[in-house]
Amino acid sequence: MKKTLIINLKRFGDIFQTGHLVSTLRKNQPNHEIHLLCYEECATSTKILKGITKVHTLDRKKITSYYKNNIYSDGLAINDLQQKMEEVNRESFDRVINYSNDKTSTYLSSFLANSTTEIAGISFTPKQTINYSNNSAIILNDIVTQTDFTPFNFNDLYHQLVEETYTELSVEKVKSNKMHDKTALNNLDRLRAIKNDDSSSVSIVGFQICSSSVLKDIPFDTLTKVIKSVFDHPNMVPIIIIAPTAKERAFSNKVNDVFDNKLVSVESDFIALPSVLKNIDLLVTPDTSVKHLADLVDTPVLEVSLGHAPFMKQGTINTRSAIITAPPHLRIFKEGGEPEEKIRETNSRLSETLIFHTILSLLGTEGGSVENEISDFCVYRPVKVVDGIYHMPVSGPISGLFEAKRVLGRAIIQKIFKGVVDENLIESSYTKIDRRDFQKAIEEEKEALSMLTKELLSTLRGLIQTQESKTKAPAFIEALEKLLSRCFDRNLAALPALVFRAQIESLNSDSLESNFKEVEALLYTLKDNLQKSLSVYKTCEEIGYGVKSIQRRSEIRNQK
Amino acid sequence: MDNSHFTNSTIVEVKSSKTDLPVPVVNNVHLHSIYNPEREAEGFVGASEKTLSKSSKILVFGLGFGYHIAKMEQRLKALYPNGYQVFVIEPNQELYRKWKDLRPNIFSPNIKVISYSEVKDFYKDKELVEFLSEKPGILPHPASFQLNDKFFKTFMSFHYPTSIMESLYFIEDEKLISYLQNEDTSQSTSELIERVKNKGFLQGYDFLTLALDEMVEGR
Repeated sequence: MKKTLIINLKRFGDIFQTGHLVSTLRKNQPNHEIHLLCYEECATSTKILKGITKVHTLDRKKITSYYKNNIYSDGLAINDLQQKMEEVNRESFDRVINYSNDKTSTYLSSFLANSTTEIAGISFTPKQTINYSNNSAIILNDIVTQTDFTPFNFNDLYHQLVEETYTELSVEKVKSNKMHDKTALNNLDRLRAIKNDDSSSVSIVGFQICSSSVLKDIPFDTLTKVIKSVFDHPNMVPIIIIAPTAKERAFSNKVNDVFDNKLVSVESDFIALPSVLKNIDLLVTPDTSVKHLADLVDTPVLEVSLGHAPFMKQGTINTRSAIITAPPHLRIFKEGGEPEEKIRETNSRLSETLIFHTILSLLGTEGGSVENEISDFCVYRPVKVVDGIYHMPVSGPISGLFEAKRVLGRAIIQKIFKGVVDENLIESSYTKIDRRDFQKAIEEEKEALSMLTKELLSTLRGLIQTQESKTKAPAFIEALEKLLSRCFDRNLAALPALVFRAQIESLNSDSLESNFKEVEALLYTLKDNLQKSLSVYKTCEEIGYGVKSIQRRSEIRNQK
Repeated sequence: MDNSHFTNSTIVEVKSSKTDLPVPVVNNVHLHSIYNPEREAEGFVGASEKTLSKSSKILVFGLGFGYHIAKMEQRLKALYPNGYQVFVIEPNQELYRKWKDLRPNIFSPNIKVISYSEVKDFYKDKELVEFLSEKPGILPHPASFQLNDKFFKTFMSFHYPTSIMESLYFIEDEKLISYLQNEDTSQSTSELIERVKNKGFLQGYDFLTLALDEMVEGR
C-alpha cells in the first residue's frame, strides 16, 4: 500500500473541496492510503470526508501564540512544529500533494521531499527556486492567481496535479450518520406532506444565509422576498439552514420575524449537516463552505456570488447548479479590491425575481426559464468539458468580449501544455457569444501578441549580443525585465509570458554561461508558445466561420 | 532572578484560626482569616463567579494554605462535571514547603500547585506553559497578591529571552538541537529566520524554519 499526504492549510470550504480529489484518488488509485495535514482549528471539517486514513494537524494558534507572545520561549514554537512534522515524516509518504499551494504548505512540502517522496504541486529547491511537479502546478501557482480570465477552476487543477481529471463520480464522498440521515429524511418529508397532499411534488429549498462577510451575503430585503416567493409556492417549502452559533441564530430569528416565525430553521454542525443537505432539493447560498459540502453530497446549489467571492476559481462545480453574479468583467475578485459602498450598491440591484426564477429553473418547475431574464446580474452554469468543469454563461448582461477571452485563455493554456484545444468548448461558446465579440477579442489579442513578440525578439537579440560581449548585459537585462513585465498585462498575451516567468524562476543553473543557454532555450519556447497562441486564434476564427465544421464533414465523408 | 527579591526574605509563621485551622502569616500579614478561613474562602469563590463561569481553566496567583482553592474546586466540579484544570503559582517557597508539610486540604489531580525560585523557571515549566497558551481565567488571591505584587507583576510582564541558546531548553529532538547549535546561538529566532532566508542552499530544518515564519505571520 502506498501513502499519499494532502497538505491543505486553508479553511473549512477548501477542506470540503478536498473531498472531490480524495474520492477520485480512492477510485482511480486504490492502492494509496490517503492522509491529510490541516490546521487544528479546521480539523472538525475533515471528520465527514470519506476515504481519509488519518488526519494530522498543526496547532497554528498555539504555535503562533508561543512565537508571538513575549512571555514564551520561541523554542516552544520551534519544538511543537518540529515534533508534529517529524511525526508526519515518520509515515514515509510516497507522495505529498501541496494542495493549498501557499508558502507555508510549500515549505512543509519541501521539508518532506526526499528521494522516495515525490511532491505534487510546487516545492522549493535548495536554491530557493520553485520546483513545479507538472504544468498544472504552473497554472495553479502562476496563472489562475494572476489573470482576470481565470481559465481553470481550482478543483480541476488539483486533479491535474496528480494527472487525474475531475468527473462527477457516483460514489459517496461524505460520511453521514444513519440516524441523522433518517431523522432529516423523516422531518423534511413531513414538511413536504404538510405543504401538499402529493408530497412527492414538493421541493425543499434550503437557504444558507450567512457567509464570512456581510458584503457576500444576499441583501436582507432581497433574501426575505425570495423566501416569501418560495414560501407561497404550492410545491416548495423554504427552510433556513444555520450553524450552531449565536450570530447565525440571531440572523435566522430576524428573517423568521418577517414570517411570523412560520419558517423552519435547521441548526446543524458539520457532522449533521450532510444529512440535511442530502435530503433537500436545492441549496441557495452565498459563497460559503456549505456550498462545497452540498457539491460533495451532489445537492444542486444556487450560488449567489457577491462581493469578492471567487466563483470562477471556486464556484459550485455541480452541473445541476447555477451561479448568479454581477457581470464578472465588472467584478474584482479580491477582498478589499472594491470600496464597500460600491459593493453594497451593486448588491442592492440583485433582484429577487432573478433568484426565484433561477430556483424554478433548477428545480425544473414551470416558469423557470432564465434565458430571457432582464437583470443587472448574470447566470452561469457549470458544464462538463473534456478536461473538467467550465462555468458557462446562460443569461444576463454578459460581456461577449470578456467571455471570448475566457474561452481563448483556456484554449491557449491547453495548446501550450497539451498541444490540443477543446474545440467543442469554443464551438458551444459561439452559441452564447456573438461572433463579432470573438473577432474583436482576437484582433485585440493579436495586437498584444505582436507587442510581446517584438519584446521577445529584442530580448533574444540582447542575449545573443551579451554572449558575444558582456558589456551588452545591461541592455539584455533591461529587455528581459520589460518582457517579464508583460505578465502583469490584462490580456491573453500575459499567459505565455507567465509560463515563461515560471520557467525562468525555476532555473537552477550554477554558472552564468549555462544560465544564458537555458534562458535562450526558454525564450525560444516562449516564441513557440506565441505561435501556439496565434494558432488558437486561427482555430477559433475557423470555428466561427464554420470552416472547422466543413472540414469535419469532409473528413467524415472521406472516412465513409 | 531569585524570588526572594520579590518576597523580601520572608518569615513564615503558622497560627491557628478560631476554627482550629492553620493560617500562614508572612511578615506579619495573615494570608487567610484568623477567624474562619473556610468561610472567607467562600467569599472569594462568590466574588470569582464571573471568571469561573467563563472558563474551566483557571490560573490562581497565590497559594496561602489553599482554603480558597479547595472551595473553588467545589464550584468548578459543579460548573464543569466533564473536567477543569487549575494551576496555582506561589512565589514563596518557604510558604509552599510549609503548606506541603501541613496539607490542611486535599486537592484533586486537576489542581497543580507550583513554586519556583525564579520567574523564568515558571515559564520553563512545559505543563504550565501549555496551560497558559490556552488562555485560562486568572484569579489573584488578594492577600497573596498584595504581599507579592512585585513578583506577580513581573510574572505577567515577563519577556522570555529570545536567543537560540535559551530556546534549546525546549527542544526535544537531538538533530534539531545540533541544527540550532550549528548556528550562532546568541542570535534571536527572528535573526535566525532572516539568515536562513538568505542562505544559498536550503536543506532539512531550514525549510521548517521558514515554514514557521510563514505560519506565524499568517501568510
